[in-house]
Amino acid sequence: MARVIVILLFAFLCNAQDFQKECMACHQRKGIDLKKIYFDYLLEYSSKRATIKAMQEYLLSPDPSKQLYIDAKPYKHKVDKKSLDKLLEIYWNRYTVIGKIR
Amino acid sequence: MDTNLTSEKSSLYKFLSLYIFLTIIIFLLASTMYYKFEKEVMLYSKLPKLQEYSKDVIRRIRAMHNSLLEDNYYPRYSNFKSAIYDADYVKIFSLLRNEKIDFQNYLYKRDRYIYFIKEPSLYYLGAKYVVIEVLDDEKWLTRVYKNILIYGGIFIVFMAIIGYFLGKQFLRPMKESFMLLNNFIKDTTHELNTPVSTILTNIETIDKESLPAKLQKKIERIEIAARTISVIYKDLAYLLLQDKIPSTIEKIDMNELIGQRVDYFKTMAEAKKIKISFSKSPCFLQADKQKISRLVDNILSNAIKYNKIGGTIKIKTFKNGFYIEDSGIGIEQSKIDEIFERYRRLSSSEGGFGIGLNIVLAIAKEFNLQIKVDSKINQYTRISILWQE
Repeated sequence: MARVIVILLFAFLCNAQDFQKECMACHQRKGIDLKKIYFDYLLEYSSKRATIKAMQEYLLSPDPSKQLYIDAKPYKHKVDKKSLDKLLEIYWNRYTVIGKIR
Repeated sequence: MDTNLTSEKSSLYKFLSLYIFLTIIIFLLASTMYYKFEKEVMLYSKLPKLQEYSKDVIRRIRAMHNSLLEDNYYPRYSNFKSAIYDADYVKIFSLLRNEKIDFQNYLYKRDRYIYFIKEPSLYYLGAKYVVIEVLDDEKWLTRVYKNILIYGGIFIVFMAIIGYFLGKQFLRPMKESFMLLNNFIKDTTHELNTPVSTILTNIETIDKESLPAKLQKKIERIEIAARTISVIYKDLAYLLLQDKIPSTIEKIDMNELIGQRVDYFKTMAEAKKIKISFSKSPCFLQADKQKISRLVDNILSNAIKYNKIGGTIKIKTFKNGFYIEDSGIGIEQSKIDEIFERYRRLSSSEGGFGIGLNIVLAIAKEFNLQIKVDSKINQYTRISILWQE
């Protein structure tokens, strides 16, 4: 049991590190605000399920007609679907409004 | 007479019960519809205010959204509570007292609260549903209940009065038929008395011994038939007039009375070759002689009617009662209680209306007499009449 927890924690930390390294660093470099993108998607899609689905579709095959954040050009991210799922989960949890309103 | 009036009353009560039941159903339906209508009126009267409240909340969450939640203080109001839910009905934030929301209705009341659900054009903070909850003072409900009680009560009383008169109108032809039939039976019964008495009196004056055997037999048959009609006449007269005949209480020597009644039925018993044995002990009863005579007649005539040819009838009197036992067809144990019901005939082998034992029961009740029935199928039936000293 303890081993399973350790493995899961390790996997999470790896993914969190990936998010920090791959997503945050790149977006900071390009000056594209991840929080702003999150709120723009939330305004359009409301729920976690619909928001993540829309983000995933856009990131895997960017379609300018579906682009919400207009300050950046469409960019095809070099990430496989499985990794993207994990990264988007971390992204959602990082910026979610649930539990932050007082 | 009494039977007919009782059945008329019973029909009237049945009709009235059904009528009142239907009236109550109509009343309940009307009350429910009225309640729902008043509730809708109340809800829609609150709608403009609820919409205003929801706009306030949306305005505030839009500001929070635009600040990217740097400003994260959710609005609070003294006159209502609110909550926000996403498109999958997941709670984003709530101040509601009752968080069980019915998202299918945009305006409804649950318990003491009114709920209004507004969908903003854009999902600020991901909120697809803004729920407003206000406390209902329920003044309208008190008014509704009061109106239902007052007008419903008046309606039910009004309908009951109408129903009563309608019932009387519907039952009038039936009552008239009953009265007609009753009067006819009364008149017929009365008209029977004179000819039957004449036949019996004349037969009694005939010196049967001097007649040829064949003619003697014919006269006996006429006598039996006349006595049977006489018993039926007396039973009918008792049934029709039992309430009107006052009882004359006297000390009856039961041995003498039973002896007279045995003599009366002698010819009938002889026709079936039935032997009657009568064991006497001193036996007296304080009652009406005419009525006790009817009681004895009915038990005795049954003992002859349901006896076998060549059978026996044992009569025994004792201090506080007497019994009459036949050697006839007997009565099933389970049916003993039924034999006293009016128009109940357990055997159709003999004629009759099934009123005899009912008369016995009525007379026994009047004079506090106890009836005991012992019987064994195809062996005997013993009817004992007992009384307290």
